[in-house]
Amino acid sequence: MTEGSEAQHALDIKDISFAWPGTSAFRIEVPNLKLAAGERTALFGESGSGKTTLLSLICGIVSPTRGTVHLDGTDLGQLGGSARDRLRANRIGVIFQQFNLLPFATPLDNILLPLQFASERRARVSDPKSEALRLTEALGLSDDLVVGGTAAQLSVGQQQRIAVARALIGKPSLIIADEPTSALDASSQRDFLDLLLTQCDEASASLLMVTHDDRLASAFGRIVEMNELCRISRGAAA
Amino acid sequence: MILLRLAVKSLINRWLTVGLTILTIALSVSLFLAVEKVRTGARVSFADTISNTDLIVGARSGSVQLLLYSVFRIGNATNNITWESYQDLEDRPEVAWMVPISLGDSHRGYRVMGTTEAFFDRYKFRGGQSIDFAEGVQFDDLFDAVLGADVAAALGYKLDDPIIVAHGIASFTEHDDKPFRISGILEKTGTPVDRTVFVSLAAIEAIHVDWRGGKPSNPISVEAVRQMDLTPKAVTAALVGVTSRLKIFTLQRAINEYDQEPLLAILPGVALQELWGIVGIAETALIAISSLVVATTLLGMTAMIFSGLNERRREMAIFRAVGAGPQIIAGMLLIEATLITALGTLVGVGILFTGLLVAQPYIDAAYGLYIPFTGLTLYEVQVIGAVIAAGALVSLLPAARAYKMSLADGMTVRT
Repeated sequence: MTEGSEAQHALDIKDISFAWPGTSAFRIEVPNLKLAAGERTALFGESGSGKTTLLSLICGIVSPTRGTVHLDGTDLGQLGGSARDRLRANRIGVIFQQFNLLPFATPLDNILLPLQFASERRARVSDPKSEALRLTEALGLSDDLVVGGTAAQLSVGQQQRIAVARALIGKPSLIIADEPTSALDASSQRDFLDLLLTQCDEASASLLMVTHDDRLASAFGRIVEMNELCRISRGAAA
Repeated sequence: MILLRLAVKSLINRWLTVGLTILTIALSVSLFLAVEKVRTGARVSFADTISNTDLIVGARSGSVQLLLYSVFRIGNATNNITWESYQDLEDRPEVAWMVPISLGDSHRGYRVMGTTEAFFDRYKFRGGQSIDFAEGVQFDDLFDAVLGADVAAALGYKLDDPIIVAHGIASFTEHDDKPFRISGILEKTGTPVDRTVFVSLAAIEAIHVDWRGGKPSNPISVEAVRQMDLTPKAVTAALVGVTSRLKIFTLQRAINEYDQEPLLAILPGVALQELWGIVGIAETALIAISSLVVATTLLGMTAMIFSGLNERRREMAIFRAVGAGPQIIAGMLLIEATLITALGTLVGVGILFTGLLVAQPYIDAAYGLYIPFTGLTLYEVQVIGAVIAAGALVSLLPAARAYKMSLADGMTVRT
């Protein structure tokens, strides 16, 4: 594979291995994972299957002991800690299962927070506030809900949509969502997912969504099983 | 700046613990500053015990000892100045005025001081302030007495009340054959004047004319005494004013080298400083204690931040996820601690000035300690700066912990 085609991938993982330092003897190995730009991928896995660790590795919050992670063609291993933080801020939007927001801040401040650390995303947005409101409107949230009050006053569903707006503002190339629908009731899960997919398409961002819900799988072009993707070893500490 | 705003909102969100921490810092800072104000106030009050007097003359002893008995009425003179020497000095060209002081008797624990009317004009305190009469006038008759404010207040004397002087200090022998009448009561000065009974120099002589060897013999009646020559044979000490300040040292040397009698002349300011050097050890203790209180509260704040770290792991994970480096997370804790300390210090200064405004007249009246209502001195501003810096410094500990935690936690809170 040439360097040119590698740059096509939003994410390219090659033969990585990682163990959390300290107590557990947990070790994860991922031989290969590639995400094309704009691709929607569902990552299937039960809790404890190493999803969180994998996401931390992709985001460059932790570094593999072996192998390489390329984000948009940039090798994370070549970057120092703060450069990795900057790259994450610029290229990745993250949506957690729940508790995405700073409860004491306004929803708007929560949405604008990543721009503080991501100069590239900030540069793409001429007026951050109106861009935030454009996103939340598209996600079905009224302006006064976003501007006034604190994030803690919102329902879980509203909080998750604010989190989507935060992940998407400034158009990062990769959205990582860690079971973003699991805290929602069944009827609104599908609606939420549709909104998420529409907005990712509009921002032409790749989406990597962790889930363990088969019913949501049909919306994804590609489905990856965690237990096929990576090897987890537990046992006596080395 | 959104980060600062978020830090403030995060603090407001935890208003109860944060508020209490701010309050403890405020109280400790106001305590420290109050100690500082009282300390400087006490030092100034002390240095202002006597002013406009150029020299104090007494029998040769130590300068602090002379100051103690002549000004503070503490302890006793080892010797007297003979009246001849006194007059000799008074005749010197450098001397503008001289006020004699005769000590040795007491009234119910308060010292009795024989002097002349000039004392009330010449004795100044607190930067040249004169003694004022609250009631009555200075002695007119031979057996008139003037009371300091504390004496009158503590013993409940009114004008024209009779008062009997006891012989010596803490003695049971009284000059009860020659009672005095209270002719005047002085305003409170915050100096030893408040605790003194003043009589004329002649009166001191009068109550002792019939005494021989420390006990009364051949009583002489009041009427007879009035006819006698009551020029004293000796005085205990004298306050001296010079004609020109340039002459002070010439006169001091002349007195110290006076060959008829061993005398000592001291500069009150210098002796006061020397005495403060001894008393001032308490100062150091006060500073040490209030510094420890400030240090304790800052440690308390650190403990509060530490204990909050675990609950705030989720907050830190969010910051990490949106791209904040661990140094940003540590920095936010640093900002937080600095805000808390700065706010606490500010409130502390507010408490200090409010307290000072309310308590100042009371303290002056009750203790004669005048604490000037002045702005913060440069030193106090430096102290405040140091407290805030120390607050930031101790918060480096939880900040470093948060740095490590946010590196180890990764994307989510690991427990």
